[in-house]
Amino acid sequence: MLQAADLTLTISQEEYDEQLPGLQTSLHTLGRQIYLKERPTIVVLEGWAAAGKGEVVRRLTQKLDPRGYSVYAVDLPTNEELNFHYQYRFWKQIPEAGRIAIFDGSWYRQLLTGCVELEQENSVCKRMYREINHFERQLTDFGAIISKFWIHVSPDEQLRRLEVRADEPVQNWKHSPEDLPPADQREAYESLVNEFILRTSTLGAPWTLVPGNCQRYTLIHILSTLAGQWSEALEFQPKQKKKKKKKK
Amino acid sequence: MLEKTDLSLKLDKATYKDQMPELADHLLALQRACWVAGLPVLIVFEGWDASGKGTTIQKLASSLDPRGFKLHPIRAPRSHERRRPWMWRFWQKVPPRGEWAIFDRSWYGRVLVERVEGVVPEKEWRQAFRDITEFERTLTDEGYLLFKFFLHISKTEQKQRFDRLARKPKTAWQVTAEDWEHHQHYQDWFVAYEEAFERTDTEWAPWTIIEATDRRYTRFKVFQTLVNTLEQQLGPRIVEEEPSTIDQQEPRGSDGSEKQDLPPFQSSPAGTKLPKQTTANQDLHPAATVPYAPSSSEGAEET
Repeated sequence: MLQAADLTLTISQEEYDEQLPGLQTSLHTLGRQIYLKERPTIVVLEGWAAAGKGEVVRRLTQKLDPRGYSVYAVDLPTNEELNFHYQYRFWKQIPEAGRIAIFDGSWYRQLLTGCVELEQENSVCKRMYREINHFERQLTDFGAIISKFWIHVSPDEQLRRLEVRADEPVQNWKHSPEDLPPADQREAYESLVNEFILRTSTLGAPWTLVPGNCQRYTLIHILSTLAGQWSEALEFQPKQKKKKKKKK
Repeated sequence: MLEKTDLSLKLDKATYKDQMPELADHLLALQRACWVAGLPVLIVFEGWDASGKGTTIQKLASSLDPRGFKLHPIRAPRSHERRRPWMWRFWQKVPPRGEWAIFDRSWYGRVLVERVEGVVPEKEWRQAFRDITEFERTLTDEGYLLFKFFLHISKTEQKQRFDRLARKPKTAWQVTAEDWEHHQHYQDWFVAYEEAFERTDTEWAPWTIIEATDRRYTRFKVFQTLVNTLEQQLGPRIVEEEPSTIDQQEPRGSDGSEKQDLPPFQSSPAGTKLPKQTTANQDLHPAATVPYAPSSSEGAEET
Protein backbone atom coordinates (compact mmCIF):
# COMPACT_ATOMS: atom_id res chain seq x y z
CA MET A 1 0.00 0.00 0.00
CA LEU A 2 2.81 2.36 0.85
CA GLN A 3 4.41 1.40 -2.43
CA ALA A 4 1.46 2.99 -4.20
CA ALA A 5 2.61 6.43 -3.13
CA ASP A 6 4.35 8.11 -6.03
CA LEU A 7 7.32 9.69 -4.38
CA THR A 8 8.43 11.44 -7.54
CA LEU A 9 5.55 13.90 -7.48
CA THR A 10 6.79 17.43 -7.09
CA ILE A 11 5.49 20.92 -7.47
CA SER A 12 7.42 23.97 -8.55
CA GLN A 13 8.07 26.95 -6.32
CA GLU A 14 5.87 29.19 -8.50
CA GLU A 15 2.91 26.85 -8.39
CA TYR A 16 3.37 26.45 -4.67
CA ASP A 17 3.51 30.19 -4.11
CA GLU A 18 0.39 30.58 -6.21
CA GLN A 19 -1.69 27.89 -4.55
CA LEU A 20 -0.73 28.15 -0.92
CA PRO A 21 -2.40 31.47 0.01
CA GLY A 22 -5.69 30.41 -1.64
CA LEU A 23 -5.70 27.14 0.23
CA GLN A 24 -4.92 28.74 3.54
CA THR A 25 -7.72 31.24 3.07
CA SER A 26 -10.17 28.47 2.17
CA LEU A 27 -9.19 26.67 5.33
CA HIS A 28 -9.80 29.81 7.33
CA THR A 29 -13.29 30.15 5.86
CA LEU A 30 -14.02 26.50 6.46
CA GLY A 31 -12.70 26.88 10.00
CA ARG A 32 -15.34 29.50 10.58
CA GLN A 33 -18.00 27.13 9.25
CA ILE A 34 -16.76 24.46 11.63
CA TYR A 35 -17.34 26.87 14.47
CA LEU A 36 -20.76 27.94 13.24
CA LYS A 37 -21.96 24.41 12.54
CA GLU A 38 -20.51 23.15 15.79
CA ARG A 39 -18.64 20.18 14.37
CA PRO A 40 -15.64 18.86 16.27
CA THR A 41 -12.79 18.39 13.81
CA ILE A 42 -9.72 16.24 14.12
CA VAL A 43 -6.64 16.21 11.92
CA VAL A 44 -4.15 13.42 12.50
CA LEU A 45 -0.65 13.71 11.07
CA GLU A 46 1.48 10.62 11.13
CA GLY A 47 4.52 9.58 9.19
CA TRP A 48 8.11 8.57 9.45
CA ALA A 49 10.56 10.64 11.44
CA ALA A 50 11.61 13.74 9.49
CA ALA A 51 8.61 13.41 7.19
CA GLY A 52 7.77 17.06 7.66
CA LYS A 53 4.79 16.91 10.02
CA GLY A 54 5.92 19.98 11.91
CA GLU A 55 5.98 22.09 8.78
CA VAL A 56 2.52 20.89 7.82
CA VAL A 57 1.14 21.91 11.19
CA ARG A 58 2.70 25.31 10.82
CA ARG A 59 1.33 25.99 7.37
CA LEU A 60 -2.03 24.55 8.21
CA THR A 61 -2.53 26.76 11.21
CA GLN A 62 -0.90 29.88 9.82
CA LYS A 63 -4.13 31.46 8.64
CA LEU A 64 -6.59 29.66 10.93
CA ASP A 65 -8.25 31.62 13.68
CA PRO A 66 -6.02 30.86 16.67
CA ARG A 67 -8.98 30.74 19.02
CA GLY A 68 -10.47 27.85 17.09
CA TYR A 69 -7.83 25.17 17.18
CA SER A 70 -5.46 23.30 19.47
CA VAL A 71 -2.37 21.38 18.49
CA TYR A 72 -1.31 18.32 20.42
CA ALA A 73 2.17 17.01 19.89
CA VAL A 74 2.26 13.50 21.21
CA ASP A 75 5.18 12.58 23.34
CA LEU A 76 6.05 9.31 24.98
CA PRO A 77 3.52 8.85 27.77
CA THR A 78 4.69 10.24 31.07
CA ASN A 79 4.78 8.10 34.18
CA GLU A 80 1.52 9.63 35.28
CA GLU A 81 -0.15 8.85 31.97
CA LEU A 82 1.12 5.28 32.07
CA ASN A 83 -1.04 4.71 35.10
CA PHE A 84 -4.12 5.27 33.00
CA HIS A 85 -5.60 3.38 30.10
CA TYR A 86 -3.74 4.21 26.88
CA GLN A 87 -6.82 5.79 25.32
CA TYR A 88 -7.47 8.01 28.33
CA ARG A 89 -5.13 10.82 27.33
CA PHE A 90 -6.64 11.02 23.86
CA TRP A 91 -10.15 11.10 25.20
CA LYS A 92 -9.05 14.06 27.25
CA GLN A 93 -7.86 15.87 24.11
CA ILE A 94 -10.97 15.31 22.01
CA PRO A 95 -12.11 18.73 20.82
CA GLU A 96 -15.47 20.03 21.82
CA ALA A 97 -18.11 20.79 19.19
CA GLY A 98 -16.89 23.59 16.93
CA ARG A 99 -13.17 23.29 17.63
CA ILE A 100 -10.31 21.80 15.68
CA ALA A 101 -7.70 19.50 17.21
CA ILE A 102 -4.54 18.81 15.25
CA PHE A 103 -2.54 15.84 16.35
CA ASP A 104 1.14 15.83 15.48
CA GLY A 105 1.40 12.18 16.40
CA SER A 106 -1.62 10.40 17.81
CA TRP A 107 -3.08 7.15 19.12
CA TYR A 108 -1.54 5.48 16.09
CA ARG A 109 1.84 5.96 17.68
CA GLN A 110 0.72 3.39 20.22
CA LEU A 111 0.25 0.88 17.41
CA LEU A 112 3.67 1.61 15.99
CA THR A 113 5.53 1.15 19.23
CA GLY A 114 3.31 -1.58 20.57
CA CYS A 115 2.82 -3.90 17.65
CA VAL A 116 6.27 -4.25 16.23
CA GLU A 117 7.95 -4.97 19.52
CA LEU A 118 5.27 -7.45 20.54
CA GLU A 119 5.42 -9.21 17.21
CA GLN A 120 4.15 -12.48 18.55
CA GLU A 121 1.10 -10.92 20.12
CA ASN A 122 -1.04 -10.34 17.08
CA SER A 123 -4.12 -10.47 19.19
CA VAL A 124 -2.98 -7.25 20.82
CA CYS A 125 -2.77 -5.56 17.43
CA LYS A 126 -6.18 -6.82 16.36
CA ARG A 127 -7.62 -5.57 19.59
CA MET A 128 -6.04 -2.18 18.99
CA TYR A 129 -7.43 -1.92 15.46
CA ARG A 130 -10.85 -2.71 16.81
CA GLU A 131 -10.52 -0.26 19.66
CA ILE A 132 -9.25 2.50 17.40
CA ASN A 133 -12.02 1.93 14.89
CA HIS A 134 -14.55 2.02 17.64
CA PHE A 135 -13.03 5.13 19.17
CA GLU A 136 -13.18 6.92 15.83
CA ARG A 137 -16.70 5.70 15.16
CA GLN A 138 -17.91 7.15 18.42
CA LEU A 139 -16.45 10.45 17.30
CA THR A 140 -17.99 10.36 13.83
CA ASP A 141 -21.35 9.27 15.29
CA PHE A 142 -21.25 12.46 17.28
CA GLY A 143 -20.52 14.45 14.13
CA ALA A 144 -16.76 14.79 14.19
CA ILE A 145 -14.85 15.30 10.95
CA ILE A 146 -11.73 13.18 11.05
CA SER A 147 -8.89 13.41 8.51
CA LYS A 148 -5.81 11.26 8.81
CA PHE A 149 -2.61 11.66 6.87
CA TRP A 150 0.38 9.37 6.58
CA ILE A 151 3.37 11.19 5.14
CA HIS A 152 5.56 8.76 3.33
CA VAL A 153 9.19 9.50 2.51
CA SER A 154 11.70 7.25 0.86
CA PRO A 155 14.44 5.81 3.12
CA ASP A 156 17.15 7.83 1.36
CA GLU A 157 15.32 11.08 1.73
CA GLN A 158 14.64 10.32 5.37
CA LEU A 159 18.30 9.70 6.07
CA ARG A 160 19.30 12.85 4.24
CA ARG A 161 16.88 14.94 6.25
CA LEU A 162 17.94 13.42 9.55
CA GLU A 163 21.53 14.30 8.75
CA VAL A 164 20.57 17.88 8.02
CA ARG A 165 18.48 17.96 11.16
CA ALA A 166 21.32 16.72 13.30
CA ASP A 167 22.95 20.09 12.74
CA GLU A 168 19.81 22.01 13.68
CA PRO A 169 18.29 20.48 16.82
CA VAL A 170 15.79 23.33 17.17
CA GLN A 171 13.60 21.75 14.50
CA ASN A 172 12.46 19.06 16.91
CA TRP A 173 9.60 20.56 18.83
CA LYS A 174 8.77 18.97 22.11
CA HIS A 175 9.59 15.42 21.15
CA SER A 176 12.54 13.60 19.70
CA PRO A 177 12.10 11.10 16.87
CA GLU A 178 12.83 8.32 19.34
CA ASP A 179 9.24 7.29 19.49
CA LEU A 180 9.10 6.91 15.74
CA PRO A 181 10.55 4.01 13.80
CA PRO A 182 14.30 4.55 13.31
CA ALA A 183 15.42 4.98 9.72
CA ASP A 184 17.32 1.71 9.61
CA GLN A 185 14.35 -0.39 10.71
CA ARG A 186 12.01 0.82 8.04
CA GLU A 187 11.18 -2.53 6.52
CA ALA A 188 9.89 -4.06 9.70
CA TYR A 189 7.61 -1.12 10.24
CA GLU A 190 6.44 -0.72 6.67
CA SER A 191 4.32 -3.84 6.70
CA LEU A 192 2.85 -2.76 10.02
CA VAL A 193 1.99 0.65 8.60
CA ASN A 194 0.43 -0.92 5.51
CA GLU A 195 -1.68 -3.10 7.75
CA PHE A 196 -2.99 -0.46 10.01
CA ILE A 197 -3.75 2.01 7.25
CA LEU A 198 -5.83 -0.69 5.61
CA ARG A 199 -7.54 -1.74 8.82
CA THR A 200 -8.37 1.63 10.21
CA SER A 201 -9.37 3.53 7.10
CA THR A 202 -13.14 3.93 7.29
CA LEU A 203 -15.68 6.06 5.44
CA GLY A 204 -15.99 8.41 8.33
CA ALA A 205 -12.29 8.55 9.11
CA PRO A 206 -10.25 7.89 5.98
CA TRP A 207 -6.50 7.74 5.69
CA THR A 208 -4.77 9.75 3.01
CA LEU A 209 -1.36 8.57 1.92
CA VAL A 210 0.80 11.57 1.10
CA PRO A 211 4.04 11.38 -0.89
CA GLY A 212 6.48 13.28 1.25
CA ASN A 213 9.71 13.53 -0.71
CA CYS A 214 8.93 16.98 -2.03
CA GLN A 215 7.94 19.17 0.91
CA ARG A 216 6.05 21.66 -1.22
CA TYR A 217 4.02 18.91 -2.76
CA THR A 218 3.25 17.44 0.65
CA LEU A 219 1.96 20.74 1.92
CA ILE A 220 -0.22 21.51 -1.09
CA HIS A 221 -1.56 17.97 -1.18
CA ILE A 222 -2.48 17.90 2.49
CA LEU A 223 -4.01 21.35 2.57
CA SER A 224 -6.07 20.78 -0.55
CA THR A 225 -7.26 17.32 0.61
CA LEU A 226 -8.20 18.80 3.94
CA ALA A 227 -10.08 21.68 2.34
CA GLY A 228 -11.91 19.16 0.15
CA GLN A 229 -12.84 16.90 3.06
CA TRP A 230 -14.01 19.76 5.24
CA SER A 231 -16.07 21.40 2.54
CA GLU A 232 -17.71 18.07 1.72
CA ALA A 233 -18.51 17.35 5.35
CA LEU A 234 -19.81 20.85 6.01
CA GLU A 235 -21.57 21.08 2.63
CA PHE A 236 -20.01 24.46 2.09
CA GLN A 237 -17.88 25.65 -0.78
CA PRO A 238 -15.56 28.54 0.04
CA LYS A 239 -15.55 31.15 -2.70
CA GLN A 240 -12.45 31.13 -4.81
CA LYS A 241 -11.01 34.55 -5.48
CA LYS A 242 -10.59 35.11 -9.16
CA LYS A 243 -6.96 35.63 -9.96
CA LYS A 244 -6.28 39.04 -11.31
CA LYS A 245 -4.66 38.80 -14.68
CA LYS A 246 -1.40 40.68 -14.82
CA LYS A 247 -1.58 43.50 -17.27
CA LYS A 248 0.99 43.12 -19.93
CA MET B 1 -33.26 -11.72 33.83
CA LEU B 2 -35.30 -9.71 36.30
CA GLU B 3 -38.29 -12.00 36.28
CA LYS B 4 -36.29 -14.86 37.69
CA THR B 5 -35.10 -12.98 40.75
CA ASP B 6 -36.44 -13.98 44.12
CA LEU B 7 -37.28 -10.74 45.84
CA SER B 8 -38.09 -12.41 49.13
CA LEU B 9 -34.46 -13.10 49.98
CA LYS B 10 -33.42 -11.80 53.40
CA LEU B 11 -30.56 -11.86 55.80
CA ASP B 12 -31.29 -11.92 59.52
CA LYS B 13 -29.75 -9.36 61.81
CA ALA B 14 -27.68 -11.84 63.79
CA THR B 15 -25.87 -13.30 60.79
CA TYR B 16 -25.34 -9.85 59.37
CA LYS B 17 -23.84 -8.53 62.62
CA ASP B 18 -21.70 -11.59 62.86
CA GLN B 19 -20.26 -11.74 59.37
CA MET B 20 -20.35 -8.24 57.98
CA PRO B 21 -17.48 -6.61 59.93
CA GLU B 22 -15.10 -9.35 58.90
CA LEU B 23 -16.25 -9.10 55.32
CA ALA B 24 -15.72 -5.35 55.34
CA ASP B 25 -12.20 -5.74 56.74
CA HIS B 26 -11.42 -8.28 54.11
CA LEU B 27 -12.62 -5.92 51.42
CA LEU B 28 -10.34 -3.22 52.74
CA ALA B 29 -7.40 -5.60 52.58
CA LEU B 30 -8.32 -6.43 49.00
CA GLN B 31 -8.50 -2.76 48.12
CA ARG B 32 -4.95 -2.34 49.38
CA ALA B 33 -3.90 -5.38 47.41
CA CYS B 34 -5.33 -3.78 44.28
CA TRP B 35 -3.16 -0.76 44.90
CA VAL B 36 -0.06 -2.89 45.25
CA ALA B 37 -0.89 -4.95 42.18
CA GLY B 38 -1.89 -1.94 40.09
CA LEU B 39 -5.32 -3.43 39.43
CA PRO B 40 -7.95 -0.81 38.54
CA VAL B 41 -11.57 -1.47 39.43
CA LEU B 42 -14.84 0.10 38.31
CA ILE B 43 -18.02 -0.53 40.26
CA VAL B 44 -21.31 0.53 38.71
CA PHE B 45 -24.53 0.82 40.69
CA GLU B 46 -27.83 0.99 38.90
CA GLY B 47 -31.28 0.36 40.28
CA TRP B 48 -34.78 1.61 40.86
CA ASP B 49 -35.44 4.83 42.72
CA ALA B 50 -35.48 4.06 46.45
CA SER B 51 -33.82 0.69 45.91
CA GLY B 52 -31.03 1.58 48.30
CA LYS B 53 -28.21 2.55 45.94
CA GLY B 54 -27.28 5.55 48.03
CA THR B 55 -27.14 3.72 51.35
CA THR B 56 -25.31 0.73 49.89
CA ILE B 57 -22.69 3.01 48.36
CA GLN B 58 -22.38 4.81 51.68
CA LYS B 59 -21.72 1.52 53.41
CA LEU B 60 -19.19 0.57 50.75
CA ALA B 61 -17.41 3.91 50.85
CA SER B 62 -17.16 3.89 54.63
CA SER B 63 -15.50 0.48 54.55
CA LEU B 64 -12.83 1.49 52.03
CA ASP B 65 -9.69 3.58 52.23
CA PRO B 66 -10.81 6.94 50.79
CA ARG B 67 -7.46 7.57 49.13
CA GLY B 68 -8.01 4.57 46.93
CA PHE B 69 -11.33 5.32 45.32
CA LYS B 70 -13.34 8.08 43.74
CA LEU B 71 -17.10 8.23 43.80
CA HIS B 72 -18.83 9.62 40.72
CA PRO B 73 -22.50 10.51 41.01
CA ILE B 74 -23.82 10.57 37.47
CA ARG B 75 -26.80 12.67 36.51
CA ALA B 76 -27.95 14.32 33.29
CA PRO B 77 -25.08 15.56 31.11
CA ARG B 78 -24.11 19.16 31.63
CA SER B 79 -23.77 21.62 28.78
CA HIS B 80 -20.02 21.18 28.28
CA GLU B 81 -20.50 17.43 28.34
CA ARG B 82 -23.07 17.66 25.56
CA ARG B 83 -20.49 19.27 23.33
CA ARG B 84 -18.57 16.03 23.03
CA PRO B 85 -19.39 12.43 22.23
CA TRP B 86 -21.68 11.04 24.92
CA MET B 87 -19.09 8.65 26.34
CA TRP B 88 -16.48 11.37 26.75
CA ARG B 89 -17.59 12.27 30.26
CA PHE B 90 -17.18 8.67 31.36
CA TRP B 91 -13.71 8.34 29.91
CA GLN B 92 -12.74 11.28 32.11
CA LYS B 93 -13.66 9.18 35.12
CA VAL B 94 -11.86 5.99 34.24
CA PRO B 95 -9.44 5.37 37.12
CA PRO B 96 -5.67 4.98 36.93
CA ARG B 97 -4.19 1.59 37.76
CA GLY B 98 -4.54 0.54 41.35
CA GLU B 99 -7.52 2.77 42.06
CA TRP B 100 -11.22 2.17 42.24
CA ALA B 101 -14.00 4.22 40.69
CA ILE B 102 -17.53 3.84 42.02
CA PHE B 103 -20.40 5.07 39.90
CA ASP B 104 -23.76 6.02 41.38
CA ARG B 105 -25.66 5.63 38.10
CA SER B 106 -23.50 5.42 35.01
CA TRP B 107 -23.29 5.29 31.26
CA TYR B 108 -26.34 3.06 31.40
CA GLY B 109 -28.37 6.21 31.83
CA ARG B 110 -28.23 6.57 28.08
CA VAL B 111 -30.27 3.39 27.55
CA LEU B 112 -32.36 3.75 30.70
CA VAL B 113 -33.51 7.20 31.80
CA GLU B 114 -32.72 8.85 28.48
CA ARG B 115 -34.63 6.12 26.65
CA VAL B 116 -37.71 6.00 28.86
CA GLU B 117 -38.03 9.77 29.05
CA GLY B 118 -37.48 10.13 25.30
CA VAL B 119 -34.53 12.47 25.70
CA VAL B 120 -32.55 10.81 22.90
CA PRO B 121 -33.93 9.41 19.65
CA GLU B 122 -34.22 5.64 19.33
CA LYS B 123 -31.40 5.38 16.82
CA GLU B 124 -28.98 6.85 19.33
CA TRP B 125 -29.88 4.76 22.32
CA ARG B 126 -29.79 1.63 20.19
CA GLN B 127 -26.30 2.60 19.04
CA ALA B 128 -25.42 3.09 22.68
CA PHE B 129 -25.64 -0.64 23.45
CA ARG B 130 -22.79 -1.26 21.08
CA ASP B 131 -20.85 1.72 22.38
CA ILE B 132 -21.26 0.43 25.93
CA THR B 133 -20.16 -3.13 25.26
CA GLU B 134 -17.15 -1.90 23.32
CA PHE B 135 -16.22 0.57 26.04
CA GLU B 136 -16.40 -2.16 28.69
CA ARG B 137 -14.45 -4.53 26.52
CA THR B 138 -11.73 -1.93 25.87
CA LEU B 139 -11.32 -1.56 29.61
CA THR B 140 -11.40 -5.21 30.56
CA ASP B 141 -9.01 -6.13 27.75
CA GLU B 142 -6.56 -3.74 29.30
CA GLY B 143 -6.90 -5.40 32.70
CA TYR B 144 -9.62 -3.35 34.37
CA LEU B 145 -12.06 -5.15 36.63
CA LEU B 146 -15.66 -4.15 36.13
CA PHE B 147 -18.56 -4.82 38.49
CA LYS B 148 -22.11 -3.97 37.53
CA PHE B 149 -24.75 -4.14 40.22
CA PHE B 150 -28.44 -3.72 39.69
CA LEU B 151 -30.57 -3.25 42.81
CA HIS B 152 -33.98 -4.71 42.08
CA ILE B 153 -37.19 -4.13 44.01
CA SER B 154 -40.81 -4.80 43.13
CA LYS B 155 -43.33 -2.11 42.32
CA THR B 156 -45.11 -2.67 45.63
CA GLU B 157 -41.89 -2.42 47.57
CA GLN B 158 -41.02 0.81 45.77
CA LYS B 159 -44.37 2.32 46.70
CA GLN B 160 -43.92 1.26 50.33
CA ARG B 161 -40.52 2.88 50.43
CA PHE B 162 -41.72 6.09 48.86
CA ASP B 163 -44.54 6.25 51.39
CA ARG B 164 -42.19 5.65 54.28
CA LEU B 165 -39.78 8.31 53.09
CA ALA B 166 -42.50 10.82 52.34
CA ARG B 167 -44.02 10.45 55.81
CA LYS B 168 -40.99 11.77 57.72
CA PRO B 169 -40.02 15.40 57.14
CA LYS B 170 -36.37 14.41 57.47
CA THR B 171 -36.49 12.19 54.41
CA ALA B 172 -39.41 13.62 52.49
CA TRP B 173 -37.15 15.59 50.16
CA GLN B 174 -35.89 12.35 48.65
CA VAL B 175 -39.21 11.58 47.02
CA THR B 176 -39.97 13.98 44.19
CA ALA B 177 -42.86 14.27 41.77
CA GLU B 178 -40.55 12.82 39.15
CA ASP B 179 -40.05 9.70 41.27
CA TRP B 180 -43.80 9.20 41.54
CA GLU B 181 -44.08 9.54 37.79
CA HIS B 182 -41.39 6.93 37.29
CA HIS B 183 -43.33 4.70 39.66
CA GLN B 184 -46.43 5.04 37.47
CA HIS B 185 -44.36 3.90 34.52
CA TYR B 186 -42.69 1.02 36.35
CA GLN B 187 -43.47 -1.30 33.47
CA ASP B 188 -41.75 0.89 30.88
CA TRP B 189 -38.70 1.00 33.05
CA PHE B 190 -38.85 -2.76 33.53
CA VAL B 191 -38.75 -3.24 29.76
CA ALA B 192 -35.82 -0.85 29.45
CA TYR B 193 -33.88 -2.62 32.19
CA GLU B 194 -34.54 -6.04 30.72
CA GLU B 195 -33.31 -4.99 27.30
CA ALA B 196 -30.24 -3.32 28.76
CA PHE B 197 -29.28 -6.48 30.62
CA GLU B 198 -29.93 -8.66 27.64
CA ARG B 199 -27.68 -6.59 25.44
CA THR B 200 -24.90 -5.69 27.83
CA ASP B 201 -24.54 -8.80 29.95
CA THR B 202 -21.29 -9.98 28.43
CA GLU B 203 -18.61 -12.44 29.32
CA TRP B 204 -16.16 -9.69 30.14
CA ALA B 205 -18.63 -7.57 32.10
CA PRO B 206 -21.55 -9.53 33.54
CA TRP B 207 -24.40 -7.98 35.48
CA THR B 208 -25.04 -8.94 39.10
CA ILE B 209 -28.70 -8.57 40.02
CA ILE B 210 -29.08 -7.85 43.71
CA GLU B 211 -32.43 -8.72 45.31
CA ALA B 212 -32.71 -5.47 47.18
CA THR B 213 -35.87 -5.90 49.23
CA ASP B 214 -33.88 -6.51 52.41
CA ARG B 215 -31.20 -3.91 52.99
CA ARG B 216 -28.91 -6.23 54.96
CA TYR B 217 -29.04 -8.82 52.27
CA THR B 218 -28.27 -6.14 49.66
CA ARG B 219 -25.14 -4.95 51.36
CA PHE B 220 -23.98 -8.42 52.18
CA LYS B 221 -24.37 -9.65 48.64
CA VAL B 222 -22.58 -6.64 47.18
CA PHE B 223 -19.63 -7.08 49.52
CA GLN B 224 -19.59 -10.82 49.01
CA THR B 225 -19.49 -10.46 45.21
CA LEU B 226 -16.68 -7.93 45.37
CA VAL B 227 -14.65 -10.02 47.79
CA ASN B 228 -15.07 -13.26 45.85
CA THR B 229 -14.11 -11.82 42.49
CA LEU B 230 -11.19 -9.81 43.84
CA GLU B 231 -9.81 -12.82 45.68
CA GLN B 232 -10.02 -14.77 42.48
CA GLN B 233 -8.18 -12.08 40.53
CA LEU B 234 -5.56 -11.23 43.07
CA GLY B 235 -4.93 -14.72 44.43
CA PRO B 236 -2.21 -14.90 47.04
CA ARG B 237 -1.25 -11.24 46.77
CA ILE B 238 -3.72 -10.20 49.43
CA VAL B 239 -1.97 -8.20 52.10
CA GLU B 240 -3.53 -8.79 55.53
CA GLU B 241 -1.79 -6.01 57.33
CA GLU B 242 -1.85 -2.99 59.59
CA PRO B 243 -2.96 0.33 58.08
CA SER B 244 0.54 1.80 58.14
CA THR B 245 2.01 -0.62 55.63
CA ILE B 246 0.86 1.30 52.59
CA ASP B 247 2.98 4.32 53.59
CA GLN B 248 6.10 2.23 53.73
CA GLN B 249 5.79 1.08 50.16
CA GLU B 250 7.82 2.62 47.33
CA PRO B 251 6.01 5.36 45.43
CA ARG B 252 4.93 3.92 42.13
CA GLY B 253 6.74 5.00 39.00
CA SER B 254 8.79 7.75 40.67
CA ASP B 255 12.03 6.38 39.32
CA GLY B 256 10.50 5.28 36.07
CA SER B 257 10.72 1.63 37.03
CA GLU B 258 8.04 -0.90 36.23
CA LYS B 259 5.47 -1.68 38.85
CA GLN B 260 5.51 -5.20 40.23
CA ASP B 261 4.15 -7.86 37.94
CA LEU B 262 3.12 -5.48 35.19
CA PRO B 263 4.38 -5.94 31.64
CA PRO B 264 4.61 -2.93 29.26
CA PHE B 265 1.58 -0.70 29.39
CA GLN B 266 0.09 -1.88 26.11
CA SER B 267 -0.91 -5.31 27.30
CA SER B 268 -2.88 -6.50 30.26
CA PRO B 269 -1.24 -7.01 33.64
CA ALA B 270 -0.27 -10.66 34.05
CA GLY B 271 -2.62 -12.67 36.16
CA THR B 272 -5.18 -9.93 36.53
CA LYS B 273 -7.21 -10.43 33.38
CA LEU B 274 -10.73 -11.64 33.19
CA PRO B 275 -11.29 -14.66 30.92
CA LYS B 276 -10.02 -13.57 27.55
CA GLN B 277 -12.62 -12.71 25.01
CA THR B 278 -11.72 -14.42 21.75
CA THR B 279 -12.86 -12.87 18.52
CA ALA B 280 -14.57 -16.13 17.59
CA ASN B 281 -17.02 -16.00 20.48
CA GLN B 282 -20.47 -16.35 18.98
CA ASP B 283 -22.44 -16.80 22.19
CA LEU B 284 -23.12 -13.15 22.72
CA HIS B 285 -26.32 -11.41 21.78
CA PRO B 286 -25.89 -10.12 18.20
CA ALA B 287 -26.06 -6.52 19.29
CA ALA B 288 -23.37 -7.07 21.84
CA THR B 289 -20.77 -8.38 19.42
CA VAL B 290 -18.52 -6.05 17.53
CA PRO B 291 -19.89 -5.38 14.07
CA TYR B 292 -16.67 -6.41 12.31
CA ALA B 293 -16.55 -9.96 11.15
CA PRO B 294 -14.26 -11.94 13.43
CA SER B 295 -12.48 -13.33 10.36
CA SER B 296 -9.72 -11.57 8.53
CA SER B 297 -12.10 -9.52 6.44
CA GLU B 298 -11.82 -6.55 8.80
CA GLY B 299 -11.26 -3.50 6.76
CA ALA B 300 -13.17 -0.55 5.34
CA GLU B 301 -16.39 -0.24 7.24
CA GLU B 302 -19.69 0.88 5.86
CA THR B 303 -21.08 3.51 8.15
